[in-house]
Amino acid sequence: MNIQQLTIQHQKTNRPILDQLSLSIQKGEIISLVGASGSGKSLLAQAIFNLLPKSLQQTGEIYYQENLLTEKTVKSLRGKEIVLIPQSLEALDPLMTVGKQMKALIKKGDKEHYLQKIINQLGLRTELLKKYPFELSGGQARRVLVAIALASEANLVIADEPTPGLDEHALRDMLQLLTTFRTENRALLMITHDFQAAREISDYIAVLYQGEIVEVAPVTAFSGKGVHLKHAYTKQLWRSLPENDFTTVNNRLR
Amino acid sequence: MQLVRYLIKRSIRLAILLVAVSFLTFLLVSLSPIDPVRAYIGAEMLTVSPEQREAIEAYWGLDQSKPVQYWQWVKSLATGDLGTSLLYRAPVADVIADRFLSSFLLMGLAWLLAGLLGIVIGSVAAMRANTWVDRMIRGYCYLLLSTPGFWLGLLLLMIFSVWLGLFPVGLSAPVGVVSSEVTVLDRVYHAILPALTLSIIGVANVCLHTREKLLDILNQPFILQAKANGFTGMKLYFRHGFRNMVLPAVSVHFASFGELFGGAILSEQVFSYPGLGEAIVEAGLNGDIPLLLAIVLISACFVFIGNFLADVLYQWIDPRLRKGGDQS
Repeated sequence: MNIQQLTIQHQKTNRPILDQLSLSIQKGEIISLVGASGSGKSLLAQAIFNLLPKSLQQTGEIYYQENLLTEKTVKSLRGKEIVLIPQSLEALDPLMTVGKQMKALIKKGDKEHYLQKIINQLGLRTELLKKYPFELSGGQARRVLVAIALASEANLVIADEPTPGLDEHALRDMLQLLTTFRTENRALLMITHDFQAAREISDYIAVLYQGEIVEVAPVTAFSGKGVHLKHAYTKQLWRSLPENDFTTVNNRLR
Repeated sequence: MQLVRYLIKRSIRLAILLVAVSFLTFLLVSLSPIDPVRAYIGAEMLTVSPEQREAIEAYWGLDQSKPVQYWQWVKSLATGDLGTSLLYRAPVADVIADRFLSSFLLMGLAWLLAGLLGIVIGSVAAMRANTWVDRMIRGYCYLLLSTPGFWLGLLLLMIFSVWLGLFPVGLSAPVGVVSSEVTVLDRVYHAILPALTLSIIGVANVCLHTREKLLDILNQPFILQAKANGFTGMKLYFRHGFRNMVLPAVSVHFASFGELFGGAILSEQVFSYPGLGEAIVEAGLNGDIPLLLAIVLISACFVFIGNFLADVLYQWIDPRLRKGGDQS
């Protein structure tokens, strides 16, 4: 997928929230878009699916496998070629069992069998399928959200903040799980404010600062003193990590 | 166990409600200027001597003090006797039984019609929110809501019965047919127009409520997710919208039993449809206290049951409540 000059602005004031954002991602790659909370990075996910709220307007071009996405074409790709791992646990329908929702994107023949496979892969119990979302723990629900994407055959997965609220152990599991998309030769775009997490699994990290992508650097550039990093903000971000110089206290950009 | 306690609680509440309602009704009728004897005898009042009048009063128990009258009514009610209607000179239970069926048919039809139509057009309005379809539907609803029921009834009567001759002008059965030969179809045929009148206004309520509820649901994160998962249009509606909307909408519809009853009184008047609504007006105007009290009690039960069903549905639909989990 290739995003070119994507701008998201308020319909009325024309004030841009994301400004001329360009980013491309290939199969088998994990790219993280890192930015502070409230920087509008979740809107990028909605823009890719053409599901922005009506008060916002998007301009610019998004290509998927060389094809320009239009309002019409993106509809046929949703859930099939592109899937979203949502940020909020409220993305599950409260009145539908987890199993039924997990099956939503399985297009293959033997749904039950396939679902079982995924359940095992995730280390979840089968009884879980009959439960309603409110009966899940936070960690279980997060894994279910990933499972829905995993169950699909989509080649591009957009994960919107998949890690908040997880303890250290659950975070490991989640990151491990997210890397399976690379193993399966799919592309994963992770939108996050968790720089640490991004550094652990990504191939490239795109840094969003004040509505613009200030730098896209391979994860290897984030090493040592960060001499390969170009932008001042990125360097600052890198140095703020505990194992580095610790120059700012906000190590996770909150 | 929880269920039993719930039912007991509800029964006590119903009992208190009935006592209060019957007492209030009795009080109001006692204070009303209508003299039951005069209303009963009507124009021939002049020919009745004071002695005869006293005899009638004694026969009806009207010579006793009001509290005694009320107490006696409560006592006989406890034995299952609703008393005798002054107006029809028949046991109240018999008068009501027949009318209850007529009214039940009328209100049932109206309720179903209003519910079905309301949910369908309310859904359409919400799924096409802020388009011209939505604006048309909303405009139509506001128009209906501000329409008096009896006026609408007269209008329908004029168009469908008088001009087009498609429906009977009134009553609940064909004229000149022995009551044992009246078929269910005859009954339904006569109930259609009054039911339509009653439902058309109900539709607006259900429709607007459905629209609000569905819009609310469509703004939930899980709908955004469902869209991202590739669900749109009807599929999205039935998979996530309808399921989340329908039971709350039906619950509210159950809770509208009270309005339904109120509307039925007007509708029955316009169509001279012999149901409870018509009977309660007659009873009120003629000071037929036993009949009035009985109908008031029945309608109170009716509305109570509606609210009760609404409550039960609310509890049952949400798995969070049904499975007794936390309610946050």
